[in-house]
Amino acid sequence: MKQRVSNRVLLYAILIGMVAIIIFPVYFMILASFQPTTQAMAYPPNFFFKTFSVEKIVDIMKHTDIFRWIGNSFIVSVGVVAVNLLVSVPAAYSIARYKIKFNRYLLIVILVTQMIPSAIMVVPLFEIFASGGMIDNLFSLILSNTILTLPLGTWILIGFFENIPKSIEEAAQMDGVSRIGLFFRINIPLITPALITVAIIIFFDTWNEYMYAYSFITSQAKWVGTVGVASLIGQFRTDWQGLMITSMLFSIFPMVIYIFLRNYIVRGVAEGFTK
Amino acid sequence: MHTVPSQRTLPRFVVAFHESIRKDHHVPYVFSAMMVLLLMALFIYPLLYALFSSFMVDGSFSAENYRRLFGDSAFRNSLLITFLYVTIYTIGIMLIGFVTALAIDVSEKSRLPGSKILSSLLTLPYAIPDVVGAIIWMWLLNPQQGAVNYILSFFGSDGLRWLTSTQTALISVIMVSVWRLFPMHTLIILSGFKTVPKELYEAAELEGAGMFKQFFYITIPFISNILKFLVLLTIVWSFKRFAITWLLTQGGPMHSTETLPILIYQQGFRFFNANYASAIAIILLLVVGIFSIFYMKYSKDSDAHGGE
Repeated sequence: MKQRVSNRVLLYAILIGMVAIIIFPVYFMILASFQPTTQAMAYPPNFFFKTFSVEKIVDIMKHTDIFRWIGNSFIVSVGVVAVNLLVSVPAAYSIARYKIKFNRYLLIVILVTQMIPSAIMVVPLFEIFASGGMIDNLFSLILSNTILTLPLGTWILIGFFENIPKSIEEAAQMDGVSRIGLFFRINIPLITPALITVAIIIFFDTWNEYMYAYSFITSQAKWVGTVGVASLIGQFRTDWQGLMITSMLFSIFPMVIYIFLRNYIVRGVAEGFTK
Repeated sequence: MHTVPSQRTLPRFVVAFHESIRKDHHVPYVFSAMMVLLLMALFIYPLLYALFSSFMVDGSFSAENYRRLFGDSAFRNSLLITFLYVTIYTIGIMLIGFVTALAIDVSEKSRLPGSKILSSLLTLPYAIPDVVGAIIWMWLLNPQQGAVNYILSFFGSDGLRWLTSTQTALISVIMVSVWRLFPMHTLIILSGFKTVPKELYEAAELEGAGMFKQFFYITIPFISNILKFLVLLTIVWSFKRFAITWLLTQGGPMHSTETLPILIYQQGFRFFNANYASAIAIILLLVVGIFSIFYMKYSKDSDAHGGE
């Protein structure tokens, strides 16, 4: 018993040590955001809270377009989730259910898509969007990010569809449910948790995307969060506190989602990678 | 009743089409139609576009871009940097992913109170956008005002010029990328640990095997397939890394962090050599392609042997 207790203490010590190192940068960002400027920017740095202040945060909210950029990130991310699910759910269903040659080739193309670095696609996509008059249009980001996120979503969904026992479909077919009905009335309700998982992962990936957003959007009012926040690096130069606050505002939403809905992501990973 | 058109009067493909509709053969194609369209328009077409434009010089068709590439010292440098980046990044992220996954696994198995929240916090960088990670680290690594050099000063170090010295820039950039991206590895390896059947551990315990023995003789062999697969996947994915490097160093100082994606971006959007950028992109595609083939072959094989 005694050994058990000391083992636990050791385990706690190791875990908390790891957590402290890993989240130190995030902690430091939050710390700097909620302090008066003189304390946040002091050198040697303060590692603990002394005085709480939101003065600078209010100032940043007033003087930058940060909320507009975050709003644009929302539009693009939600758009990508919607388009992606619309495309990947039926395709994943088809690949999981119908083991025909066509679907096998389709799966290979999807897997290949996942491996292509966006650096390879950025120049041709730019020229394609330019010839369609879609540069500086959030829709070009929705389309390009859909392609980026399609493979992972489809891959995870295939796993979930394959886990649905065939007998359920067969029983429904006996009752006269059509092929299309099988998809909408039997399969979709069964994979709702998977849809949430995939939606979260796609949302995170799109929220995080920088290269396309930086290349395809030119006017400041249409920037998404990544580009807007990055643009302040040049503008604020050494106003580290300002940079920390905009960074914090931009990452607060994904952080909260992650802490509360982490289980969905874990499940998607387990489904997608360890079959 | 269904009137089937006479086979003699209609072309063959029309009859075949009609047959397939009647027998529901078209269903799988209908389901994946949008996927096919999207892939054609925004994946296949841009790739062909890149391939085509890589052979264009001043409006005429030639291999000049590729000839120029092989004489370009910036390109050779970039190949070397990419090789270093991929190697160090893969080793680093696998190590950190493994250690953190192990810590979470042990704490979950021993039902440590609070292990859920600790593992959430441990993998929190998953939720931090690349841009934000880069900005925080830019400050932490700042030679004069940064916390890292300040902490190092307690150990008697004068500190390093992390991002501005050619000796440390690449490793710093990799470190930040690993910090930002290891949680996915943690989760994948953790889910690997969970595939090991409990009975194996119970049996080992009865035989009197300790924790370490169980770890080396059961856990490691059991998840070695997942680890190998993950290494290949990491290599393939590491060619995608762009934002953190771009924001921290833009490829500098002295091209010491100029990986292929950075070089392509510089050529395409800073110097406006779209065709030359495409030629580099095609080379990158070939490099990624080689690893992808390994990866696909491997994941097929392991499916055949191990998988469910």
